[in-house]
Amino acid sequence: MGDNLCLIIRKAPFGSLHAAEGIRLANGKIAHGGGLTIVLVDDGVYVAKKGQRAEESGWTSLSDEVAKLAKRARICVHMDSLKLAGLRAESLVDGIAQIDDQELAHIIAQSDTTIVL
Amino acid sequence: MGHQVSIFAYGDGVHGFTTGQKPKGIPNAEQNISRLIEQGLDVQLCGTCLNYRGIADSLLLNGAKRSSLSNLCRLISKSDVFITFA
Repeated sequence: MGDNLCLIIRKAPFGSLHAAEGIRLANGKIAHGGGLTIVLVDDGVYVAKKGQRAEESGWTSLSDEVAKLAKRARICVHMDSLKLAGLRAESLVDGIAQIDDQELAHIIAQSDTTIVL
Repeated sequence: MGHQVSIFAYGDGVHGFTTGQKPKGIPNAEQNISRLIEQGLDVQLCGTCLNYRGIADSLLLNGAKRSSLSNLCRLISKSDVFITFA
């Protein structure tokens, strides 16, 4: 198998570990080398939302981590998911590309491995 | 001819590879996985996830290894098929 990974995050940053684990895995993959595309789908779009306020929830805001990652890897947000979440592109950290269903299908087709969290 | 199979567990998944499980009404993961390890299953557990949950190496099933994200990336690269259960 080749070394292009597509990491799809479908969960919001608060309420489960999936999103944070996804970001952690993305950092590990960057350190390991090879291609990486992160796609935020469904509630995963909240992962890239600016100004997340974890406060006393016990969870961790991922805004800063995603902003850092966006400088080192390709991060895309699924447009229809963004719309359903009532968010606009301006609500997201910088460096996030918007993609439609066809582009998402293309990214998966071009990747050697796809992991959905 | 069989296939070479590796499991990488992270997050709460690491609990499935510890000793002393006492399930009632569900399959005994400890026994079943131990049997598979004896048959050649490679089991790697995220070290950070073990640390977060206070799981010491002495509690791990025989043959289950403390591992790392770096090893996970290697597994992804070298495997013919990669399946995720999130």
